[in-house]
Amino acid sequence: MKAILVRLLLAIPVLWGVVTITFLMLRVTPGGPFDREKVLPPEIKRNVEAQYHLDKPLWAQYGLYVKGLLEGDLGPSYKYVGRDVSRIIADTFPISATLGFLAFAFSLSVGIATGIVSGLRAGKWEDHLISGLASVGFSVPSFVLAAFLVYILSHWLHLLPPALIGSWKHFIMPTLVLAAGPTAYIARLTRANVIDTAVKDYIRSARARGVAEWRVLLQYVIRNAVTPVVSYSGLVLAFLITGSFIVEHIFAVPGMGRFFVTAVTNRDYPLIMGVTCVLAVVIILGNLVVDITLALLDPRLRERT
Amino acid sequence: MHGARLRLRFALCFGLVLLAACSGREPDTRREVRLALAGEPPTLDPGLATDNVSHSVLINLFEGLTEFDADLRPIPAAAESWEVLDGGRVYLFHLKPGLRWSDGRPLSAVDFEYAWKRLLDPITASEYAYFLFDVENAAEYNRGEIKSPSAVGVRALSDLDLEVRLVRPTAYFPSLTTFVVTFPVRRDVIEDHGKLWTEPENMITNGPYVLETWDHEYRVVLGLNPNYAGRRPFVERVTFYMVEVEATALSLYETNDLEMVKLPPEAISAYRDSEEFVRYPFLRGTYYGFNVKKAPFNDVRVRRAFALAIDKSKLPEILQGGELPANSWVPKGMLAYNPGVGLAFDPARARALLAAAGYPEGRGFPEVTAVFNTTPENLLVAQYLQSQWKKNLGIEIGLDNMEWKFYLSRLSTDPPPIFRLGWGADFPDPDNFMSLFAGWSGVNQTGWSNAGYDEIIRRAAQETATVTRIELYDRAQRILCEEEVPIIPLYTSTVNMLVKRYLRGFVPNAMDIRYMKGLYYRHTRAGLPPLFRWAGLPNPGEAVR
Amino acid sequence: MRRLPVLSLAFLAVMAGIAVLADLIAPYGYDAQDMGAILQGPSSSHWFGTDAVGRDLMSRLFYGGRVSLLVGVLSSVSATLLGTFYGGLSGLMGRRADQFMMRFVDIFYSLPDMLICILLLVFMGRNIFGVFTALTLVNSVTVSRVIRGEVLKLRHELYVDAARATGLSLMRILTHHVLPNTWPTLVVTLTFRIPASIITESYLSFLGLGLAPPHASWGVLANEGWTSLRFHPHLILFPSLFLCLTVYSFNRLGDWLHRA
Repeated sequence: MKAILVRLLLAIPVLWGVVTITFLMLRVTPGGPFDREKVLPPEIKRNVEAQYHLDKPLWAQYGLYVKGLLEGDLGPSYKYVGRDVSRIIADTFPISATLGFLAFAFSLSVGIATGIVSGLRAGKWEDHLISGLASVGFSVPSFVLAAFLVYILSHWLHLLPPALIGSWKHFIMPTLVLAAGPTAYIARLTRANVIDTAVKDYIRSARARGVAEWRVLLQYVIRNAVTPVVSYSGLVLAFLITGSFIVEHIFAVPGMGRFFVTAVTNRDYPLIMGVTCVLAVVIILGNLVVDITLALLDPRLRERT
Repeated sequence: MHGARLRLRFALCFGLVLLAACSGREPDTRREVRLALAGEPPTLDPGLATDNVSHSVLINLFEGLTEFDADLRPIPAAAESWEVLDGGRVYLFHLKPGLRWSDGRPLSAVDFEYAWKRLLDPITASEYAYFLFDVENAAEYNRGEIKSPSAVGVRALSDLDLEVRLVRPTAYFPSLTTFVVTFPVRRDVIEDHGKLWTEPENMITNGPYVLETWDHEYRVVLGLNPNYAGRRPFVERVTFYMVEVEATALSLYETNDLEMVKLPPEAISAYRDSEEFVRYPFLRGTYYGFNVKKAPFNDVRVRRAFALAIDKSKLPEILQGGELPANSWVPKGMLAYNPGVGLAFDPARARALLAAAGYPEGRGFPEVTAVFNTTPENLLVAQYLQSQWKKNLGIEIGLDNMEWKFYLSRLSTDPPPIFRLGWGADFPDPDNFMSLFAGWSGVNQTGWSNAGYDEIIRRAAQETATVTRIELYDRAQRILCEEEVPIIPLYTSTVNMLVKRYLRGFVPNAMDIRYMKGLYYRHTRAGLPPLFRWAGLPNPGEAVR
Repeated sequence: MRRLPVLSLAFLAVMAGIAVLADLIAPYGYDAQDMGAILQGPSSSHWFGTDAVGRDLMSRLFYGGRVSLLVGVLSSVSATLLGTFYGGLSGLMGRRADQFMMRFVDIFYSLPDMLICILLLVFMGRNIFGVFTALTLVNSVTVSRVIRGEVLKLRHELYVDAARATGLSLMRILTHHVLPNTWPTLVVTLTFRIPASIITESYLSFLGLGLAPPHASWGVLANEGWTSLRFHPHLILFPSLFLCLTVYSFNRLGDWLHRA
């Protein structure tokens, strides 16, 4: 319990750093939110900038932002007039999170299952098949994968809708594309660990003692093989649930991931800051959850943390 | 009595449509049109919207004093008629009686007065406030030089009469009132709900449709406005899905999830012969500008040489979207369009001018770089121009591309020697295109200004006789595109669309304003007229034409 | 120990050869336009077909391979170097300094990669240096964490303590005593970083932030082609084939090194 508190305290300077660095990076980047092809008359630009305090010195803007942040106010979006960043995040985050959890569940279950199979059958055809598929999942850029999936499943077989949300069918393709990379990675990680642990002494002695094969597998091999997957999964989860620009963009999924790109091209400073903060918090929490899970899995770690 | 008959008609209509559905005709009884928007509308507040996405929704939610017909002439909408007084300095708009807001309250001229003053109020911080700067004291009020809104030259004389006093006679003013920023808004709604007044539960509109749902980042759904006094639209539900990727929108169109879609360039060749393919000109011009303040482009001969050395006939082949090459600046589809003006391809004359400027065969020409913002289309054009200038002038220019916002800030602080920009019409009058390069324009990045040009533009804006206006703009275009050449017009854009065959009544216009109220489904028209005649009903299809 | 992935190695060798010899073996220039041959499918004069402005796809793939491999390898190498020194020093220095340096890495770790890349590329322009810098920075964060972990494990090994006792500088301990022992991890990390960089580069292109045309990389080509799958399939098939097989081969190689 105390360890968790300490970790949370340590996260505060990291968060502060994220806010400050993002703020500075954005401001030194040329181009402003109200630079337009139809250049605004100076008096109008003044009105607009005054409304968002952009006419104040930089340190004052920074102070205002941090003050707002401490009060839980992420500020107004520059691009989406009249909508607060916190509202935008509240609208979009749940959708990204849903998609992310689906992809996470998929990659964890399929990745671990196939990883175990190919680990136990190392060198056999199952292993070759699974490892081959995993490598494909690993080496195809997601937009290419998406293009092929849409072509096959929507245009050719007419099985799934090519984009939008609205029914469970809509979520299948985005989930697959989003999960492809992590699934491949998890499968590979699990396989390697299964092979490693299978030759360990305690497994051999367990077998020698006449412990049933399925118990050996369940209790020793798989449990040990899963531990490194758990430590990897925290970060994956964080990235999956905060949304992927590419998947949301291609499948017209109204999630949060797209803002990591579009808000930058629009120079929508508060929105960028907002989504970045959310991502940072999720990453920190994700890592925390992972450490706790690890501690539960492995009693030896519990004492150290 | 009237209500009962109406209900009977609806019942009959409903039955007939059901019949049509049972006969197995495609499509079904759905009276919905689904379209793709390029993204989330930044706002649905008419006074604050600045972009096409918001406008394409707003145009169906509200109705201004005037609207466009297919040829982009302003025709009466909420206004029944208008009088031009005091030599063109005063406009008196008369509203149609009996118009109502979607909550049933009558539409009043006061709503227009409020909307316009709100637009100009510096507190509103509207980016399009300058749109009404032709109105007396509008600019001063917006700049904060005048504190009282009552000095602004717009006033409701009665519930139905709106008086607008202008700074100077302005020939195109009824065109301005087709634009979203001049649409009426409700004071009580805005004051009650603040920023959230554009949410579906709060929003009150006066157009054919009301905002039914707005799932942010996902879709906007419009439903019929029950109190709309104009013709009842055939389409009862309009759904805009926000789809950023054009290829995705096209997929949705093909899986019958959308009725209309913009066709991406790579797919045009595949659909060119389809019956669903629609192509029409769009009032958007693309040009390359010179920084005339700096050598070598402070020499008009060099600018002319560069303009003469481009064979624009190859541009459509490169761009693939049906773009129209142009030598003049006012685009096709607009008053005063004159393809006879401008410098046509003439490499010999270009070389002669260049030699006269002291760079025979391009020798001794300083290193210059053309800059543009990064898009595939811009890149293709830039590469082509680079090769043309090399081939026809012997000058090898550098190319540099920048991210959009970076580019814009560079243009306003330190314009590069040659740069790419475009301009889309806010209203379909040549003034909107020509005053871009006037001395008082803030959008002119070339650094060029010419008193003679400014004078002609000013006179043309006030001139009421169309023939004289065209003559004036011809003269101005000659100065801009032949004599002084601060810019090289390159091409005007086109819109490439796919529209389902069963969806009829789509009348494209060069502003690409898509009014949904005119759309209907073919099956009603093709299969039902005899029955409709028998029932004494107007054909809904014909009715909305 | 598993068999050497001969096929993968051979494929990579061929790709490297193509990249180096692109000038000699490419039938056309990477930016040579032929307006008479727009969007043609594979034919005898253009084996892989042509793109929207009549450029030969095969030539562009060859030149693009040069860019992709160069950016992938160079940014991975420099990220590994950078990450190794940062992570190594952090691991070797005292607890305080380590904590501080790792918090700093945490900050970058918590920033979205794409945000860093976009801002850098807006700054540096869409050229090979911009892409290289962005990829290096993003990669080195991961590497430095891995290496620090390794170093922490080694830190209390006898030879490190001994070296410390003799008063050697941290840098020297790092280069002479620690790195030789983390060498296998380094090589494996590097081999996995290369395909990751190549993929990331393709994502940058997808966002419109990769190399500015006419220069091409496999990522740029795949991005130019992915929307044309139904209309001009050659535009996406060939680039993704080159890209995927290369990434696949690197991963195979990495797997083998990891097991060996």
